[in-house]
Amino acid sequence: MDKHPQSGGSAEASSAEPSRRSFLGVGAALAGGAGAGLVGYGLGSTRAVAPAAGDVGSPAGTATGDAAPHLGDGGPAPWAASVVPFNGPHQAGISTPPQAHATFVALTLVPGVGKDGLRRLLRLWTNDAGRLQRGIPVLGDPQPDLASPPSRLTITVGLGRGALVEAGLADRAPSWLAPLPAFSVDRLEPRWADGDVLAQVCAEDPIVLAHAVRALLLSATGIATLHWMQRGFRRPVTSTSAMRNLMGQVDGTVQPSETELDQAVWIGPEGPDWLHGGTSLVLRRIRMDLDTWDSLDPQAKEQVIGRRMTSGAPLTGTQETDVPDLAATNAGLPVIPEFAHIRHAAVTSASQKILRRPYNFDDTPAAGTSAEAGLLFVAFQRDPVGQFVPMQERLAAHDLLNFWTTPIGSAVFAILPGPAEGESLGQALLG
Amino acid sequence: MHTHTIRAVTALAACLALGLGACSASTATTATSTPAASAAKGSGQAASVTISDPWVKAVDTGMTGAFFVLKNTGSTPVHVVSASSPVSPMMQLHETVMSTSGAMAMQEKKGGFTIAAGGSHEFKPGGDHVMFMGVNAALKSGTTLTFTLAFEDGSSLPVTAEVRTFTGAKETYVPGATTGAHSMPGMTDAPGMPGMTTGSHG
Repeated sequence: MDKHPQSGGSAEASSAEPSRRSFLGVGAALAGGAGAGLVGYGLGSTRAVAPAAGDVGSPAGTATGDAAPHLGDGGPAPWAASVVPFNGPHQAGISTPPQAHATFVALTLVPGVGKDGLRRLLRLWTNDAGRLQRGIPVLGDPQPDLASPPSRLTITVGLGRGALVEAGLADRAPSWLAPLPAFSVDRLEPRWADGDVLAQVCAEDPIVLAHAVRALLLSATGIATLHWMQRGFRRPVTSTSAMRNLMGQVDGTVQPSETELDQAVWIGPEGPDWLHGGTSLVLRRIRMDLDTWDSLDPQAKEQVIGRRMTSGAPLTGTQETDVPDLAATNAGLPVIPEFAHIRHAAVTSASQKILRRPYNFDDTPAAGTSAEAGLLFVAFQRDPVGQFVPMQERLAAHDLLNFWTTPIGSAVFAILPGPAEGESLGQALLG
Repeated sequence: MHTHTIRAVTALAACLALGLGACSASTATTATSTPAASAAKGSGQAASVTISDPWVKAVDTGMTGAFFVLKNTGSTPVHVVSASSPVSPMMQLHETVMSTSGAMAMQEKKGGFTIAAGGSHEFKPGGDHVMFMGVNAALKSGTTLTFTLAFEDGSSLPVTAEVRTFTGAKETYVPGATTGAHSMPGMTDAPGMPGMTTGSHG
């Protein structure tokens, strides 16, 4: 599983210097107790420091550069005033370095609302999202005080096949906009499947996030109803520690580089015109059986993944960012086992890569168990059937990790291009 | 001055009636233009007026209200005297006042609103607003509609507003509320008050 996205989309405003250097300065700014609100977030990373000392699990290490030692300083969190721009060729929340909290909301269009209803919903959401991402209450906001600070809020909107069917536009749907083919490992539950309209809402501040989600749901009144809601979390953007899933693995390592996003993520002329600049989102709700996973010793866990648990480094390397050497052998046996997860997730060409933006979930355990936890595996790619499906087929067939993980939800959405100033989401499709 | 005092008391009463601690000052005073809404430039008084954040509560039929922030960018006062729209045969400028019985009520603001040079005025649920009556076709959320504000000097300003679903702003028109005609205790008639049962809309 893999690590941090390269981002590369939108520079965030209210930040003086959107550079990696200023990102690295987060800790220093906090330590100084001044100017924290002006710190920029770099384009390049979701973490301040790459595999650093902070990842080895030593308490001293993890504290370095983090906000924790400075509680009570009274200064604003460095991300609080940070605004992710809403308008642009691509929607925010895709190549944006992942925020700490996410809520995914899938709606079902009210039968009969048709193209007009879908257009109305997307116009309302365009207005709402443009305001909320700037920390401004929506029109008629019942809780206007919850809209700020902006907290790197992003609202990313997509359409499922059902939306195009309801709008009478099924002929304009790309062929991949449909449920994924069934995989042998799937145990899908309808309550986590599909959906007509998706909003991925992410923010560093969970109060701001909850408010934004509700504002979107209120705007949908009479047009669409809630189908499912899935909440996830990861580390704060200011954390110097790696994203980890709840099995303990460093997660989200392998990503397309910023220069590969056009090949891997953004839909170009090969796709429908209304999706130029858009992408696709695959959301797989993957349940983890943590109680049986715990019965493995650490060495066995590393063999299952092909990476060191503590550092995230491939078994053939020393650092998380090292490229795995799948051909390496030791006494005639592959160093990275044949059944290892990373062997089957690996791709070489940029056009086969996917942009991973996963979030953990941790719900109420059933009686007699210790966890109802897992991963919201979120992947963006130009073509799920061409990129995600081959990878998942390999994983379903060979990946030993399947023994402890179960996909229980699956959905595919066409993520609309970003609206230009004054345009609505979906305008190229709906007028 | 007298009017001003009444409004302040009214606003306080409205806050208390809601039973909520936070009844903060206007939240929309930082003018932010809404992509879906705009106001064209007029002449005369209208020329010095800018409208921000205009929206109208969605209704199937009957009564509704328009809400926005009006800013007078000019050096002399402007005086809004009426409003009109193709979707309503009868529109009024409304204020929310305390009736002689102590209840909150909305009523027509005779003579309209005067906004001082450089000043701004917020039209909002539970406060002053532009009232639509007799709406005979559904105003659906996510659409836009245009209404026109008319000024004392004959100038006018079209305003394009987004229609939005809203559970407050249950506008009930109570003619003569301040003369005690309306006897319901509590806050039953102020726009935006919960539990308002007289009249329909909404």
